Amino acid sequence: MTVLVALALEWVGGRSVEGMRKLNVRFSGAPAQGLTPAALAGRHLAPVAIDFARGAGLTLAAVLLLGWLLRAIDFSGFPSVAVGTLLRVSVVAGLASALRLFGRAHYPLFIAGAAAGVVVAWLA
Amino acid sequence: MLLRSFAVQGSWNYQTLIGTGLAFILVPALKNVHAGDPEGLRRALGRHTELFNSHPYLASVAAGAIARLEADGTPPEMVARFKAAVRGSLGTLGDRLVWLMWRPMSVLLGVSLVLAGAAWWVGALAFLVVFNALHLWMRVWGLRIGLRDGLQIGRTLKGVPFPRMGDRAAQAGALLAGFAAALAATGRGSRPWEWGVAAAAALLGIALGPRVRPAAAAAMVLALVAGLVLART
Repeated sequence: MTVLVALALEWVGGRSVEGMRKLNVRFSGAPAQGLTPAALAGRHLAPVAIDFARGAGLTLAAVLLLGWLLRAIDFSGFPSVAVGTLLRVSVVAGLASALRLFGRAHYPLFIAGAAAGVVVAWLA
Repeated sequence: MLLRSFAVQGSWNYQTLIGTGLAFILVPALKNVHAGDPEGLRRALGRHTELFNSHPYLASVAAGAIARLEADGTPPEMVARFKAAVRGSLGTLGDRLVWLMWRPMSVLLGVSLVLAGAAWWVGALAFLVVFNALHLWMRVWGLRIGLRDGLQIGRTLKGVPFPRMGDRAAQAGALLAGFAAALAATGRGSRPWEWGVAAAAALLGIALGPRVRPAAAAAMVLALVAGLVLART
């Protein structure tokens, strides 16, 4: 449930940042001639304050929603094996995909890391 | 200027990008240069609110260099050309090192620690410490060399060790990605048949790279929603 709410928060957060950047055009979208330092600070800090309120509001809403969902839903019949396996597979695929980001040339290091991970999991 | 540089993206917008943020950083330097000349200060601030972009952590390089140019009495046209010349390289250098290498590597470090059995806050703290070690260093170093080198900053940037640091971060990241993937595959409660499925998922992830992430996220959501529906019925 936490993962689900986190994914939703990530999506909503991303859209709200785009909206914020469009809104910022009104505050500081055009180069301004003749600004005093105080006026410039106002043009710059007003969006900072709004962005802070946006982030804090979204995070608070997500925490409250998660708390409510955890209390409201009965997890006793939750099919944990099937769901757990699908989650595990998704996480592993996501983590392994990072190798492409770092460059396939580093695959020996990826293999070495995987071997170390297996050893640590076995020891634990 | 250093403290102001932390808010450089505060008014990021689709027209002047971080132009207003750059001018905000430059206020103390420009006040000093134009002391007793409020009209000159306003003109200078107006010039610097024009379009500018760079990696946010390397904006301090540009701000330092521009402060130096303004202090040296460099003509505004030359300062504008300088800004146009450096913004591309400051963006590319920072994006490649920070967003593509250092941040994923730092995240993988935190995830690996949690998967290895550390408390969640240890993983979060490790991420914050490692990521911000580079972040803070870049801001301080950038402002210092910008102020020192001014117009010669391009020459300095050619010699920075960012590509080498990026390579090292990529190596560490690849090692940690393998470590975290293996721990997630073979973690608590998993069965041997699940290891085979997880290994296949890892191969798919390697083959498809970042393209696999939307599918992985969708699978997670699907699994959780299906689980919740089944749990209610």
